[in-house]
Order: sequence, then structure tokens, then C-alpha cells
Amino acid sequence: MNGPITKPQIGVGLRPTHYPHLQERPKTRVQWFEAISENYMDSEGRPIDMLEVIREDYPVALHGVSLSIVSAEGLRPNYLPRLKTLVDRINPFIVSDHLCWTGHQDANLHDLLPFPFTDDALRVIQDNVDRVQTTLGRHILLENVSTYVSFPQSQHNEWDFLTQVATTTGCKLLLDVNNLYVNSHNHHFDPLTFVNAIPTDLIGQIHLAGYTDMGTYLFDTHSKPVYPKVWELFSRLISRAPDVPVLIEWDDDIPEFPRLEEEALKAATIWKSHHGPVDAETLSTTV
Amino acid sequence: MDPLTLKHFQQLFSQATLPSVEPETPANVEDLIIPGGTLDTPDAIKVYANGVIVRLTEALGETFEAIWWVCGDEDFFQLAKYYIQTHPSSTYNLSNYGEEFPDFLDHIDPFPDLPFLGDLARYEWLFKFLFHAKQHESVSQDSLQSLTEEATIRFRLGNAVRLFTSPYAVYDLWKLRGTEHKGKPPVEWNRPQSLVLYKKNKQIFIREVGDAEYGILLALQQGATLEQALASAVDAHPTFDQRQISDLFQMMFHTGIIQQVKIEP
Repeated sequence: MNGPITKPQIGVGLRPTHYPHLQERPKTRVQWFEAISENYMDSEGRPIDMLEVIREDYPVALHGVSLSIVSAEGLRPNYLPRLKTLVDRINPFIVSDHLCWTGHQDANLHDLLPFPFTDDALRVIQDNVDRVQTTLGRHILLENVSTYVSFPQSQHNEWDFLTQVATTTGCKLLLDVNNLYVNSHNHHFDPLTFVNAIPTDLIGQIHLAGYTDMGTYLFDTHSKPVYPKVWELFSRLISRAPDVPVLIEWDDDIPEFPRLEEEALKAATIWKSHHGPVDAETLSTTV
Repeated sequence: MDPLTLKHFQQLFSQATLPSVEPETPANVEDLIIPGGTLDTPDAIKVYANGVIVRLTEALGETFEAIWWVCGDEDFFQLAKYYIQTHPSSTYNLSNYGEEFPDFLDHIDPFPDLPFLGDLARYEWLFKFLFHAKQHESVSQDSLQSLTEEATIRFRLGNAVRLFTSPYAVYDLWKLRGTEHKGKPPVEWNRPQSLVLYKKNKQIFIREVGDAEYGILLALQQGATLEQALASAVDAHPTFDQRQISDLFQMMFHTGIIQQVKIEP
């Protein structure tokens, strides 16, 4: 994924429900896949076999959900070595996780948990990111998460905090536009303020997904198509960042693979509206 | 206001959201958070507290599919909730949650008419292990050609081989998961069943074996020599004959469950 950008880099999440389709190695209309790291870190069975088949034909990003980089008690001792083994085996073009904590080592909540944006949290994150990047021997990307609470103790707003995390650790940001929109609704701020505040050179990847409107708040479910307002924000963002890989996430009520490709093509069409023509052939990947 | 340390914040947040039989909401939680959207504080906390239950229940349901099938939705969700409240997760990998679920089921009271639940769950945990296990390389029957009668032989079973025995026919139950049933499971489960679970060509197979065959395989797995394993089987099962021994050898090599043959002169 190096060199001049001549076409959009649109990927989709690799999910077990699509294994039967993908193991036939069909011609697809996506440029890369993102795999959930934990689904492959502890497996020597079909999941890792499938990932290696995909890796033969496509660039792969590894995206974790359990690093818990904002954990004040530090990282789990057995997590990083296993992640490193997987990274060395797959040679992904991106390694990412979330800017959150997931619980305690003896009581994991398995959620992408919020925290106050304080200087103390920033110090914890700096130490943890340094350990991860040193162990892996590469930079990582951290994703902004959807939240349903905020904190009076916060000393920074979310976009300034993300920018500080990236600039002080050398990591890049995985900007999830859906999460950004969900948070703007839940915490009552203008999403464009967030989009415009993040320096594009800090953005290493973009996520797009669909939320669920629960009536009293927006919930990040990854169970729907991308909403129009999220596409609008994406359009603003991609106009300034043509070379950033973009991923469509769909984790619940997952459609057939061709429907997922349609969503990816919408992202490609928006990219094209800003950065020039791309014919159908250049969007196709023959495997 | 002095900012809370991250460590202290995380302790309070966990206290408010961690599933527990007797939840304790921190007294100052109203000062700790600003609820999102138009939620009030208790409902905003519930978004996270309920989310934990949902995710861990899904993880249990995925691994213990047959337990869910036997118990039905309502009882399974109750069981899962109580397990989650009393067994916090210590794994980073959600799909590895539930290791103690079989023992938990052994000691749960509400299902005296389903005494096989613990063993069925144990079988499902083993199946999950096998799904993720690396395919071993099997030895061929040719490796026995150099044997002499005086040789001491030890067989090592492959790493993708597991032995399982139960007083109940858990495999027969497990095979029916997903089918429609009302009331008790539609299978004669009250009989013992001994199984070999193994991978061949990266596919999982389950094979029922007799008591004597199971005893021999178990002895071999535990490091006994072939001679010792056969002798103890014949002692325990006097009718176990030469033809059955021959059939067992055929099965061992046909299934590829032997990873190594050690021949000591």
C-alpha cells in the first residue's frame, strides 16, 4: 500500500460468516481485509488457515479489541507476546486497537470502555503505547470509540486528546467516523468540529459502520448500513486524506458478502467524487 | 475539582458495571459521569452493565450450544447470568470465557433431571479446544514394520486428539443440538459413552469406542507401553480378544490419531 495513490483503498472486515464464500477465492471488489486479532491469536485451526489464505491474495490489517491500552494496571502479560507472534506470522500492513480500557485482568468486562480525558490518562497511555510499539517493533493505530457517558473530570475534549495521544507517542489514529458521529449525538457537539480538528497526517485508517438509534441515545452496533450523515462526514474527511485506507465494518446481522461489497463501493464512489475517475476494473481485485 | 486518578476511576466504573449477584453502585456515581443522549445516570450505567451480560452470554451460547438447546432459552439465559455474576472473566479472549461452566453445571440445583449437563458442557469445551488445535502429523502403519516381539513400544497420540468418557451419551445429545424438541431431550442419554475426538486433514471427527479400547487408548496417552496397555485391558475385560485388538490397531492408524511411535529395543 505504498507509492502514489491512484485508487481508493477500501477494505472490509473478515468475518467467519463469509469464510465459505471467501475460501473459494472469488474475484472481489475490495482491496484489503481487516481481521480481529483475538480471533486468530489463540487458534491453530480453521480461522488462522482462512486468514493465511486471505493473506496470500490481499493486504491484511490486524485490529484488536482487547489490548486495553488505557488500563491503569498495565497491559496483560500474556497478550503482547501472542499478538507479536500473530503479527510476525501475518505481516499486516496495519496493527490497530481501540483507545479504551476493557476491564481488569481478573475481571474483564470485554467492552470498549470510556474514561476521562485527563493528563493522568494520557501518561498511562503513553507508557502503554511505548511498550506495545517497542515490543512489536512498529507503530500502531488507535481508534476513537463510541461512548454513552462522558466525565466532568475530563481536562481535554476528545479530538484534542486523540491528537495529543498520536503526537506524543508516534502512533496513528484509526478514525471511526461512525463512532465520531455517535459521540457527537450522545455528547452534544458538532461532529465537523471533531473532523476538522484532527490533522490528516495523524490519520492512518478510517472506519465506517452503522449505528442503532435507541431513542434516548445512539448505540454503536455495526449492524446497519452506514448512515447518510456518516457518509457526509466521511466525504469531508476523505477529501483531505485521499491515501488513507478505509474499512466498512459490519458485525451484527451481517449481510452476504456482495452486499458488503456494495457498501465498500459507496465509499469508493465518494473517494472518486473528490479524487478523480476510477473505473470498475481498477476497483476489482482478481485473486 | 481534583481529577480522579485513572486507577481510581477504573475501580469505581468497574464496581458500577461488573455483573454481581449483589451489585454495589458507588455512592458518588452521580458525580462521576455525565449520561449520554437523553439517558439518566442509572440507564447510562446500564448500557455498560447490560452489555457485559449480553456479550458473555453470547460467548457461552456459542461454545455451549447443546447446553442451550437442552435447557431452552429462558433457563439457559438464567444459568448464564448466574454464572457470569459469580465467575468474572479473566481471559482477554471472549471466546475463551466459560472454562468453569461445566463444573458450575455439576453443582447447579435446578436441573436434577438433567444430570448430564456438566459432562455435555465438558464435551463442548473439548470440541472448542479441538476446533482451534493444530493438525498433527500422523505416523503411517509402515512405522510398525521394524517391530520385533521383544521391542518396547510407546504410542504418542496426536495433539489434535482428545479422549472423553461419560456415564451419559453426551455425543448422542450433542448431535441433536439445533433440532426442535419440547421437554426432555429426545434421545436415550442414560448410558455410558466413550469417545475419541480427533482431527484428520483439518476436519474434526468423533468416534465412539468400547470400554476396553478406551482403556487402552487412555493408558497409551498416559505413557504406558503397548504391552502394559493391552495387559490391563485384557485384565479388565477378559473377553477382549485378538480380533478386537487388531480392529483397534486398524482404527488407530486409519484415523491418524498416532503422532509418534517410540520403539525401545
